[in-house]
Amino acid sequence: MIRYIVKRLLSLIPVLFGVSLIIFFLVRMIPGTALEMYMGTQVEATPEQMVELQRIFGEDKPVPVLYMEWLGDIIHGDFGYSLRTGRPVFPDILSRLPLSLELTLFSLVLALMIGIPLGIVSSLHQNTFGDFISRITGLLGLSLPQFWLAALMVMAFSGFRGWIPMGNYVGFIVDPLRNLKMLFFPSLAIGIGFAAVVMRYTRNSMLEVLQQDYIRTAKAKGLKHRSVIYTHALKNAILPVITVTGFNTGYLLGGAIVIEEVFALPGIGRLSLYAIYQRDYPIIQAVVMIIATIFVVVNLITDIIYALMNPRTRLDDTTR
Amino acid sequence: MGKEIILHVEGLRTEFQTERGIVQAVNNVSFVLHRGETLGIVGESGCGKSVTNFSILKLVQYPPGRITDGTVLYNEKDLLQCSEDEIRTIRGKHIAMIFQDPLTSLNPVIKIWVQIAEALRLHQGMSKKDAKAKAIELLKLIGIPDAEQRADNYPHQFSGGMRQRVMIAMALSCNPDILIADEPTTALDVTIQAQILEIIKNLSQEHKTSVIMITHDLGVVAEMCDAVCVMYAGRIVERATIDELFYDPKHPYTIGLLNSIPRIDQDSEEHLHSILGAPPDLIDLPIGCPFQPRCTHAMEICAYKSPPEFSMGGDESRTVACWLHEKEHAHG
Repeated sequence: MIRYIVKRLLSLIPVLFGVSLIIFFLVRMIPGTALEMYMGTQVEATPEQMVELQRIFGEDKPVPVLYMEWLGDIIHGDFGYSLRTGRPVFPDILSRLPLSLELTLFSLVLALMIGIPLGIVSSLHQNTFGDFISRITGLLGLSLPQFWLAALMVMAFSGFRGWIPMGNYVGFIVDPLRNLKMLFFPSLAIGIGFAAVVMRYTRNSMLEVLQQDYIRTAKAKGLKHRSVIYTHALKNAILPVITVTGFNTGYLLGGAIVIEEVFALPGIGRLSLYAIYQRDYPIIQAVVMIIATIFVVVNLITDIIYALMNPRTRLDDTTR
Repeated sequence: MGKEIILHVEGLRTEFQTERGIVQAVNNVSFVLHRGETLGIVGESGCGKSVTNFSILKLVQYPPGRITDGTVLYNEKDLLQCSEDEIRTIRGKHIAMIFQDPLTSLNPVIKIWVQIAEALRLHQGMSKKDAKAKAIELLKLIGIPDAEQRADNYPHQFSGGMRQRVMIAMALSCNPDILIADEPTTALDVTIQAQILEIIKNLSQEHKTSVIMITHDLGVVAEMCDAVCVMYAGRIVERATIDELFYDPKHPYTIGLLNSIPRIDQDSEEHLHSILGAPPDLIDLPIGCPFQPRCTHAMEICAYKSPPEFSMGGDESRTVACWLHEKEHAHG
């Protein structure tokens, strides 16, 4: 197991290298450089001033050279300075990351808490009215865009109803209740689509598992309906749900970035959004690198959970 | 062998709703099982032998399956009238089952000992620890080496033969009165088959368990059974003791089955015997005898009138559903 984890963590290196290459050149393909954004259209500068500014904004060297320099820096843990504020990038990101991670995790938990039970109920009452309703709900959850749902929630639940606390964001450690209150609706907006995915996976998987011979064996033993469903069927049916959850956690994080903007939450989503407006390359690059790392690590964790739940996958297998 | 009747199946009918129509999988099947007896149910694939036995424990999945008629008397209780809760106390405790494919019949994500211990904890109220000890003891009994270690394995780490032994251990864990073995050796190698049959035979004799052995293999019948019911198209066409079946078969289908067994002394130039034609479509059964289209002795009456079960010499345990034997029945 340890060997497998180390191997997977080592595979992070080529992944991150590829991501760094793509993001570095991609952000520079957006029309308009950081300097042009900074200058706007009304400011005049002398040619000498321009040369100096180009040096500060790192536009005096060819892009490949800049890339090599940046790569050298981040290997040493130096993510550079914001082109706008001049502050180091890393502490800024670090202070905003917990919010985005919490939002992702919260939406994940909500999605699983809604999706799995609905999927089970739906599969046990296949083709009944309840199944029909939960399938329609699932389809709705899938087809409603997150940002639209989020905007609707803001309109409906904030303001005079006060279900979404207004004002400054408070961290979980400072005031857990207020924090969860603030994040509940944003998380719901992010997670509802995924809840629908989980529901459908659970339902299909359960329907398939319930046809298996070992379910008949379990019934023939005289086990109660509950034990047959929750011990024998669910343990098998949950496996595909774990896999799909791993893949989707990255997308939930992506969703968090959009939804933060709608609910005015200061996470890395808003940070990177403004960084893109302003062509603040170091911030964009650092955020993408961190998200890529999280994505790979989450998938590793998923695989480990999967292996623990499914004895047929052995992580120490040398043929892997 | 005592003649105490332990299970009495009477007029059992089970049907399946399909897109093409209703399939009469089990059509008016009756038989009795005596204490300590091993009863064989023989027939081709799809003749309804498995469904008959699933029906006994109400394990037929609804929908599409439905038991429409009949009684299954066990201890003077009609199992078919039992509620789900009542029948659950019978399943696994008094009547246990072994299934055909031991790989798909064991839960792949649950440890072996847990699967054996489940029934013990449920029906005998054992603690987790006691149940585990008993499960290991059962594994030793059925000849699993290193039982203590292997108990923590998962089914995929066991071979086919070992898995079927686990199924047997599971089924016999609560000392049931009746063991229903549904083609227990079909998925196994020939060498393993004999071992498995031996285990079932020894354990059932030891615990005076009655066995219903479902098979299409007449070799297994010869090896294991005291009495036999031959099924065709959802009905019992012949019932006999083991000797009567092999030395004095009556029904043309039974005779065809027996002739289909390849013999070592057979001329290798000669074709293997087989029954011509295919089993009938259960949705669209012939009006008369279901075997009539394939029968070499078919008479006029066979085409329009289905034969009842004629008892031979007034003996209820020796019957043939064939018009050829109407006279023997009449003259006793």
